[in-house]
Order: sequence, then C-alpha cells, then structure tokens
Amino acid sequence: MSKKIENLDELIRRFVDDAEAETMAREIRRGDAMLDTFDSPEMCPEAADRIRRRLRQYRLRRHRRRQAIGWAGLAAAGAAAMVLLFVGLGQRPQKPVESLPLVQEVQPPPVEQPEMRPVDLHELPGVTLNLWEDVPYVEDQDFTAIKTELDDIATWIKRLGIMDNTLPDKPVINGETASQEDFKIDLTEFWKG
Amino acid sequence: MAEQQPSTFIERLCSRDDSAFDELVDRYAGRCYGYFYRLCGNGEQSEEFVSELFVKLVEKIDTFDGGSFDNWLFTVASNLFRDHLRRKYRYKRLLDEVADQERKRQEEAVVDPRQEAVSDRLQWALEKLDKETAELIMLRYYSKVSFRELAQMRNEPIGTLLSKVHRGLKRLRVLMEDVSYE
Repeated sequence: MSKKIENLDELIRRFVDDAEAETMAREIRRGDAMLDTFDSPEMCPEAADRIRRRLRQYRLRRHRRRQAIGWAGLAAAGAAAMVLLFVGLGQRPQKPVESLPLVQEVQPPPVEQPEMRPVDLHELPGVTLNLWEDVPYVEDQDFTAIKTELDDIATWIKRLGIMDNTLPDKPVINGETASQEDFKIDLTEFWKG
Repeated sequence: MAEQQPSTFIERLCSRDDSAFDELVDRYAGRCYGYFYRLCGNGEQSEEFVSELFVKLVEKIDTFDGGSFDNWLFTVASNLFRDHLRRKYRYKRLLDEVADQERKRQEEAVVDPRQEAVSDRLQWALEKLDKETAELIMLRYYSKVSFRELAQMRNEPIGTLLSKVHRGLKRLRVLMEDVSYE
C-alpha cells in the first residue's frame, strides 16, 4: 500500500532531538514495511453486490420518503391556502379598528338645548301664582254665624265656671260634687237652647 | 485503489448519480472492508460496517466541502467505528471486552475459508494492542494519509499522533517477533 510522501525525519525533528528523531523515523518505516507484507483482507464479490444492493434500496427509500414528504407538504400548503381563502371570503372588508383607551369616560349623548328666551309665567300651563284662588269660596255669613256660636259657648262655659278650679266643691250627692251635678243638668238641657 | 479524485466522480456523487454510487463501492469498499476487518476481525461485521459507511456517505455527501475525498471518507469511517464502540460498550471497558470476545469467537468458530487468509499474525498482534492505537495505525495505513492530515482528521496534536503511532508500530513488531504466537 503506497503512502503519501512526507518528510518524516524533518517532521519528527520538530519534537525530539536529531538522534531520537532518526530512531523514531526508522522504526515507523519498519513498521509500515511490516504492514505491507500482509495481504489486506479482501471482500468477496457477493459482499460487494450485497452492499451495492443495500445502497440502492436505501437511496430508493430515501427518495420515496422525500417525495412523500414533498407531497404531504404540498397538500398541507394547499389545505392552508383553502382555509385562508374561505376565511378571507367570509370576512367583509372592515375599517381598521382604532384601539380604545383602557379607561373610557362614559358621557351621556348630547341633548339639543331649546332656544332660551324670557317667558311670561302666565303662559305656562298649570302654574298658579295665587294659591288661595283655588280654595273654595266660603260665605262670610256662615263664618260669622259659626264664630258667634263659638263665642256663646265660651261665654256660657265661663258663666258656669266649670273650668274654674278655685271654686269650692259643693256637697257630694251620690258620690258627685254639686258642681258636677249642675253641669250634668245643663248638658241634658243643652238641646233646649 | 483510487489514487486520484476525478472531480467528475465527486460531482456525480454530489448530484446523486446512480452509477456514481456503484463506482463508490467499486473504488472504496475493498479498502474500507480491510480497515474494518483489521479492527473487528470479523468478515460479517466488517461488511455491515462498510454498508453503514456508504449509507452515511449518501446522507452526508452534501456536507463534503471539497478537499481530499479519501480523507473525508476515512474520517467518516473512523467516526463510525468509534461511535459503534461507544454505543456498544462503555468507553473504559470496551478495549478489553472487545478483545476478549473476539478471541473467544475466533477460538470457537469454524474458520471461514474466506477469512482464513487474513487470520494472520498481524490480526493476532492488532488484537493485542489497545483499540485506540490499533484504530490509529489502521486508519493511517488504509487511508494513506500523512501525519499532518491524520492530525487534522483526528483533531489531535501532530506530536501526540507521531508518538502514538510510533509506539504502536514498535509494539506490533515486538509482538510479531514474539515466539509465543502459534
């Protein structure tokens, strides 16, 4: 077996002294020569054929696998394109949506204000300036009669002295004082006027 | 063996020409098989590695950014083998376990006539090395790269690699001169 030519002595001298380099180089050459005396193991022709066959099968499988991957990739790309197409058709073109602020102040919708002008209060419906105008009319005569009657009662009570606690009690008849007895009589005859 | 890298071949690979992949197998399967076989010592497993490697190349061909195609291919092959080891075993234990399993399997298995020719002293000696060193020596041998390129492929200092390869080759020679091998 031929070797590539290299200057072995010079190479070895880079690492060891001259004498040792010479010895090393000589021993390496002897070793190489010894290896050359032996025949190299040779592969039988059948083995070479088997290797060729195996290599072809491997390359064929590899080719098919790559082809299958290619088809699968193509199919996947087609499916993805279809999906994109459907999604694209299903969506109307929209305006770009502006991003909203995180905190948005809620404001009522603007209300159109009526034109402001001075209004006469009498023009407004249901507005009454004088509350007493709604009170039903009371005849002065009736009021006078009631007032007179009440005054009479007050005078009568005053004359009887019922409410005067300073008067001494009359002798008790059947458990009642004389004053209480008189008041009782007056009440029973009150209707007579 | 592909000594040159016609740009048309690389271009055809990158354009995934069917015939280019057949040509890839014709050009590189033998070398890759040898590399894997020297590391695992099993024809069936080596074939599986080569298959897996070419499948990876089909997957990664787009990442090839020019330069040496051989270097790129063997970097992928090396990573594949090391990933396999990491997956299968804990990194610390894998060296001894793989060596033990392979030794037992070889002792018990009926010798395949196809493998008989390579059940040689080198195979035996490689199994005595730690897997990292064996992988490094075989990677350099089958990929035919210089130490500089190897350092780039493995992302290691060139001095470290020189030292590892030197020690490994020396150990191999000592092992093969050992009278204990029968």
